Amino acid sequence: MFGRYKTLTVFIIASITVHIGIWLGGSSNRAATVSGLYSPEYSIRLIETNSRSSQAKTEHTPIPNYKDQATKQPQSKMALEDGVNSKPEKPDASRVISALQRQLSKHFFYPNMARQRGWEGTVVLMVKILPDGKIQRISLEKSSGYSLLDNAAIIALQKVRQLDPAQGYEYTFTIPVIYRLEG
Amino acid sequence: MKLSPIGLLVSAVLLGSIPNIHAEEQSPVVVTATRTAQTIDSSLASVTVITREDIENASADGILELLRNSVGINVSRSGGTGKSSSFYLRGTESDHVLVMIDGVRASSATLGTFGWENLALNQIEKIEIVKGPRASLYGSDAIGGVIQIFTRKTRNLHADLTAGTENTQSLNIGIGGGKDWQYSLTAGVYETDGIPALESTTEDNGYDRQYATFNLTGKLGQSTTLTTTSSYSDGTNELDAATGNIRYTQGTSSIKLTNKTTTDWTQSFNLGYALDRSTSYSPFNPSNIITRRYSAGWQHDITFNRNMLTLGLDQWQDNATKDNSGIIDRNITTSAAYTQYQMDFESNDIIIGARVDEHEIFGQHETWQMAWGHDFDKSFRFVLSHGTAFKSPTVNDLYWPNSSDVFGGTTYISEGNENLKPETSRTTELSLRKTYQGGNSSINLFSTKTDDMIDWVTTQTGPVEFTSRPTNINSASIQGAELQVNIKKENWLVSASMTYLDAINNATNKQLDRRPQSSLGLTAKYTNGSHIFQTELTMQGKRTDRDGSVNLEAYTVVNLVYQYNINKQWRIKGTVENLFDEEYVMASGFLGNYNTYGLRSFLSITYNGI
Repeated sequence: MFGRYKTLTVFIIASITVHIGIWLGGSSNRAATVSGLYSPEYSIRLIETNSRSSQAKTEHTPIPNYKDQATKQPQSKMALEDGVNSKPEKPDASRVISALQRQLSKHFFYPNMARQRGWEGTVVLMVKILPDGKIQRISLEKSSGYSLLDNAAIIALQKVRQLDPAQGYEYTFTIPVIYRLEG
Repeated sequence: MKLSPIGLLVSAVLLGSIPNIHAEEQSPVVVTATRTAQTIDSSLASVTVITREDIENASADGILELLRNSVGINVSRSGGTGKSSSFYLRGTESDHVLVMIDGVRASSATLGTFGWENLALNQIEKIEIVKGPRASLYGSDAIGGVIQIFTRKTRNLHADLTAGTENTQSLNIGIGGGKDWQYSLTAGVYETDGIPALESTTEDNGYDRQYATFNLTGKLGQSTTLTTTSSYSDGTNELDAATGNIRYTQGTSSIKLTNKTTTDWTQSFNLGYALDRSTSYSPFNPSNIITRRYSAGWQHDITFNRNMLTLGLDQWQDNATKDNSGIIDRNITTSAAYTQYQMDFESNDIIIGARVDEHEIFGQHETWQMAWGHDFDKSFRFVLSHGTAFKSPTVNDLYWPNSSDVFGGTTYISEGNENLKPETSRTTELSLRKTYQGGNSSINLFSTKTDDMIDWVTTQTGPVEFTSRPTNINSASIQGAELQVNIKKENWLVSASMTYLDAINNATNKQLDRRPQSSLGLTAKYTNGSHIFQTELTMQGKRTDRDGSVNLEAYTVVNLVYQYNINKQWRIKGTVENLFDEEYVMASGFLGNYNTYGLRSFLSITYNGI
């Protein structure tokens, strides 16, 4: 019967309409996704750092802006070389954090199975970062009550294998991750 | 070693399931997401969610007006407000959709359909329309999909008063609150003079409704949550003098206990009750039909790493009584066991499910389902699914009491058929979804084949005797395409949908009744401070009715809504429905075409406490 051809015709019309929709709604390339739905306007605040030389200094840093960081990639690379070669006296906290935040943001997710079931909770993770920027250990300090959420947070951090730039210092953080549903 | 707390806020999901990050100076990482559909994992199913806010922004006076703009749904109603309403999900029959209210199977056990017309919009918090078969999880009826209604949960004192065309008046009051134990109570009245149900009659057929909805939820100890809900409506549906008025009562109650047994194991136990009572004051054929459904379910969700195994047991009993015009007094029990496995790896997620139902009359029936979702990149997703489904024969089909009428010397007998098999179906769906800056779009292509569909067949059983009995005789082939585009730009929110349906009755090779080949829905909302404007457009293509013998013309209905928030507590809303006074027909019967509303307008004022 005609049925199949009609469906095909509708499909073609539909595809064209969708592309018009995409065009109206804005570009669909990756960059747009990163700056759009992955809106990078988040912040991070370091309260305390602990250096390998045990000369711990508490530093309050201004909130770095991700957009600025993203557009200054070459500078970050220079900073990386500086970090490795000259072993700075004190850790550049904002760089560690901006590296962390940039890389974390790509990986955190809310598992669909948990969203569907309305599961919420707070996972507390402990993370150790080696002087070369590698994440050496992630451990579960406190469960959210759901292993699905605990695992999702751990997986998110595991994906951040190497922090860039390297610091020349070792850090151990606890990171509370709150999973919260809205609407 | 000293610890250094670090803070950042990550917020996931504005549209779809992609993380969205906000600025906040507080310390922990906060991953937020919008609640997805509770009925089914919406990453692998086509789901439309209608929220309380959507209901409040819409022009709709009732659920039919609310849903007729939704993608993949066709509607019909035999007259004005309160008259028999039917929803056809993706071209399937009006009883091929599982209707649940707070998780309770709510449709009538005798008719197999749900009394949509008696549900007040003020009783509803959220509607989830899940398209595609879900029998492997929920059992009978879920051929075209599942429509689940979550009843109203109000967190403060609110009241609203509406008046409009045809002497329509509505008053609704609600109160809610509590912290550890949260409660919500909503009650109201609605009445309208209506319009003559048929084009050929002149007397208005009115309708009224009283309703109440109650919810209570709280913790029983550390890891157990108790939720109870109750939602009822009753009133009078006026029909012609020859047919007689109908007095109805309809409602559901549920109790659900959820227990977090370990971090890997959650179980829930629920009890449900649904009532549908209809008393006909027909001068010729008065009757009183009561159907009740008692259900119990026990479900386990067990997590393995990022995967989840679901195991469940389900049982329900249909109880139907009918008197005056023949007696039905029957109980039918269905017991079922089901399992589902959800896997999540790399950019794929897979769901596999199977279920066995044991029906007291026809015996065992198995269904299964499989779906695979793949992310090509973070904004482009593809889902392929296949599933089988079934519908058990209704109590009427099985046990309609033997009754006979004599016309001109010929005897016409009708009676139920205890040897009926379930109606069965299989569906394949391909779905493509794209998310982009400020919007998303999706295309769904689906194909459903339905077999053993039950219809009443009349055969000559004597020289002057004809007998009509339900028989597994029909089959239908449905192919369809849905397109949905949502765009958000500055103060505008635009959503457009298009549905194409090729729904063929295999015996006659004709399109199934009341299912247009093409339909279109458009909603545009513009917000400017405390002013909200919304326009809705519904276009339904040509259809037929009465087994293809009556042609119904295409129609377009346009509605306008204006809302003004006077302050945080008070809001006024003005609505014009069918702005261009389009004359159209949604359904036709043996007495001719049923009436529909022309231009209607409503004005309401709402108070919302803080």
